[in-house]
Amino acid sequence: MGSARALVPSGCAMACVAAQLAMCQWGGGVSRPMMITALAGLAIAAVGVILLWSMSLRRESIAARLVIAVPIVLSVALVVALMLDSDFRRLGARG
Amino acid sequence: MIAFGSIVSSQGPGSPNNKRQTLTAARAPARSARLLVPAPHRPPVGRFATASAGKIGMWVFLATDTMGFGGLLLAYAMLRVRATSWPDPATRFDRPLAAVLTFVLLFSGATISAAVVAARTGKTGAARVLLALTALAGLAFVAGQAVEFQALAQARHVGLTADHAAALFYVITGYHGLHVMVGVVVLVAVAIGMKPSAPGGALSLGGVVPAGGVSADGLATSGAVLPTDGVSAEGVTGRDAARSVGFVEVASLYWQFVDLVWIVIFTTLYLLPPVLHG
Repeated sequence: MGSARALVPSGCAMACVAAQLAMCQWGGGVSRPMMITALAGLAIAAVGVILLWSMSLRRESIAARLVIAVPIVLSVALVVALMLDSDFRRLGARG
Repeated sequence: MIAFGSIVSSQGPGSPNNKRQTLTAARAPARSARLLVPAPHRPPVGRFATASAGKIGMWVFLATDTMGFGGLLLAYAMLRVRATSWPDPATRFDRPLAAVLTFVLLFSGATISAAVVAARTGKTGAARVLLALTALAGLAFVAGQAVEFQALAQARHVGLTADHAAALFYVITGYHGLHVMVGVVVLVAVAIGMKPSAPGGALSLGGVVPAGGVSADGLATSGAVLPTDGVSAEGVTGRDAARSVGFVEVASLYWQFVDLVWIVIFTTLYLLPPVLHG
């Protein structure tokens, strides 16, 4: 029972990746921003499942959670901010 | 007779203070486990009180490693967003092969989770087999990556210096592949070094486990005998077995992190559609 329960997070992550592949394969009519949002959302869901359940982050102390969560959140936030900044500059130059 | 720190009270069993203590203990199993631990073995009080030194070290390492991968992915994002043209990942890379490798890696995540459960319940043989299976999946992943590199460089003539996209692809996936190889070595070392459990079953969970109480991770120990008190037929103490379980848990943390990072890499490098420049 315990082993079976341990397999659930990996199964969920596999389902997310399968959904990503299905989107890329058959989601030709979907707009690019929507596609990127869906792919990133599925990736974040898979990562969250692994982080919280497989790595048991939810059972760790607050300090441990901060140690691992802050670099992840900051790096993702920085990537998003830089991409937005880049897009803004490009649009600004055109406009 | 062992004195159980805060649980021992000078007041009678029916006193309001004792009732409040009982209720608090029932609502917070991890905290009650700390209270049940005999005073000489009680872990130091602090923010990391319930985690072992190995686990804390691994979390700190993973945090720094996240920054390493974050830097590489940031460079990829910057170059891709600012490039005037960028190759379509669907046509340049072998996406079906990468998808298969992704599922292989996620399968290995499931096997190592099962290995942790097996080790915690004292099934050392099963844990060893599952660790070996995980290592094999890791080797298959690295082999698949090598095949992809070769096909890309020789059949499609996209070498390391072909363009920014190729350079970043080789660096990021190669850096991740290095992590997988290190993980395989660690898994093999842990599987070989695992000690069989002592009588009563191994129940380390990275901290001090109270007899018949609740572990530091919040998992019930079902009233099992403390492994630290027993000695197996091979002369292995419960403390050795508990350390082995701790190693499996720390190795599992590392391996799950490798899985986690690959999902981000796979999405970014293989799946995101290219920017359309008007």
